[in-house]
Amino acid sequence: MSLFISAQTYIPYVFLSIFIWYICKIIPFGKFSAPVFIIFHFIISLLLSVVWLCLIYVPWFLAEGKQIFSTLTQGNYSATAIIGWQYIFGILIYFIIAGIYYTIIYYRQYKEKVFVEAEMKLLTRDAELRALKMQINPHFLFNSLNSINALVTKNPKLARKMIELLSDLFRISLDLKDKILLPLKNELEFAHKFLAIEKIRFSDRLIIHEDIDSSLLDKKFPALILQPLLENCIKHGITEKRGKCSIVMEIKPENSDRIQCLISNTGKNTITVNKIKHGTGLKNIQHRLRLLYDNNYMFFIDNAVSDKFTVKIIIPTG
Amino acid sequence: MKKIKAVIIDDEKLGRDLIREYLQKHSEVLVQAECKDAHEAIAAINTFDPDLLFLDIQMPEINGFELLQMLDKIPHIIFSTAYDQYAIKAFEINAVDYLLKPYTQERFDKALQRVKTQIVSDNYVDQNIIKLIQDITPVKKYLKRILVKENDSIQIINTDDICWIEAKEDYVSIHTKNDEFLFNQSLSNLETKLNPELYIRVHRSYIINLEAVEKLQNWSNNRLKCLLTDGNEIVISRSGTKRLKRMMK
Repeated sequence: MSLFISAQTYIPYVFLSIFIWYICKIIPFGKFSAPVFIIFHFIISLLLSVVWLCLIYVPWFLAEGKQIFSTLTQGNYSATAIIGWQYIFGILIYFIIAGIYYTIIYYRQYKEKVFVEAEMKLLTRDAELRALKMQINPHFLFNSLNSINALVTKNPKLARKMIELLSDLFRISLDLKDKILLPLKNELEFAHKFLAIEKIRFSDRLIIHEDIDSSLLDKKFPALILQPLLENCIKHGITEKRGKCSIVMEIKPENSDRIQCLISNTGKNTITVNKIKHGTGLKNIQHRLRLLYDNNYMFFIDNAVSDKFTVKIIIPTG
Repeated sequence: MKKIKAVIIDDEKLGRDLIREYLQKHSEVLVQAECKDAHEAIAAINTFDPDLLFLDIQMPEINGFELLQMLDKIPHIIFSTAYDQYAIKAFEINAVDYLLKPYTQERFDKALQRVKTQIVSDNYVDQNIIKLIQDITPVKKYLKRILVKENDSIQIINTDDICWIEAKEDYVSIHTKNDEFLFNQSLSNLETKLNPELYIRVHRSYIINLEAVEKLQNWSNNRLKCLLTDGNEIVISRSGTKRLKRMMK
């Protein structure tokens, strides 16, 4: 039995294991159905075990001839029995090594998958956020240009002012395009430019009230949230309704670690209010907040009062 | 030379100002009214019977096309729009000229020149515009609201608020919970424009809104009597009863 435990016997297997490594790489786990997979490895193990035994016995046989069989024979065990058991043992070793290799391969793949998935998630989130961000509404652009056109002769100073506002608005929107969070004061600047243009267009039809807590101005805020909400107010309060419309924008701290942002518009609505479909704009903002804060945010729409439409957002202070 | 009577319709003051300014060199055009929405426009058009409308498409509540559908007589029209792919497509299909905001004096003059030549050739009505209006009608699958012209004002009826509709000689009477409106269209015509799953023709002379049905009662001759939320009772014809039962299944 000394051959079973002698280290020399297993030296050839060190070389064979390199071979097994490649076999395992070629036949990845799960590529074939389980029976095919097992039969394949079984055949390989049979062959490999033969090779292993040949590597042990052929050189010995060449050196000492038939003598070796009598050396092998021990007690009750014949030489064939010993070689037979060694053969079976070789098959077992093959499966153990293959098992270890598959574990290593699987673990590596798993780690890679986790990494790639995390990366993908991050990339899609960014891409989504970018895609969801407002693009300047063409309707707004052309109407503003038409207003400028009217002002050029009537009130050139105001026309220039509006050109400046419109250029600023575009410049900021280009700057903000790739930002996800930014200081509230920058977000507000953008909203203010937008409101200033709309104020020129609609003059006394549009009334704006603002209440911003100055302690929040440097806090992080999601980019391009306010302007689409204000645009929504204008849409519902001015372009779809007759008469005046007052827009309220309030941004206040809530529970020391949150920001509450409330934007509402009035305007007598002669069309049933509860029939207003929440447009893609609002859905879009909600989607972005979800991507940004998971479930750690709140988004309410309140149109219970017949001539008021309110959107309330509560987000963590970034 | 006879002056061209015009009405300017645009919801933005600056938009109206611009047209005024561009019209300064066209002394033959007399602006009779400036309107900031379709409600004002209907009144002005009734009062002044203008030859020409400067009409913006996007307006609060009732847009430019909807306004046109309520006019008995269509004047010459110079359309303008800022950005409305739907409207632009309709103009293109029907070869109707339109101004894209912002537009220049030259472009404006060109459009006006075209209209002037049309007006000179007396009684000319732009067939393309008539076609455009017909084209625009089936915008939504079923009507969501009905615009009823009452002299100088427009009533907007949400179709959801309709309880029942009754055929009168050549018009219909639309009953809502608290009101009644006369509408210049035949019952069969209106029936095709209403969602057939909700508005059922239960009688030669009646359409009812299923959501306004409070109670149904058996009546003589295998008929049903229907109590509506506005308190009215309607006896449904036999074929109407069959149709209603089929709907309720």
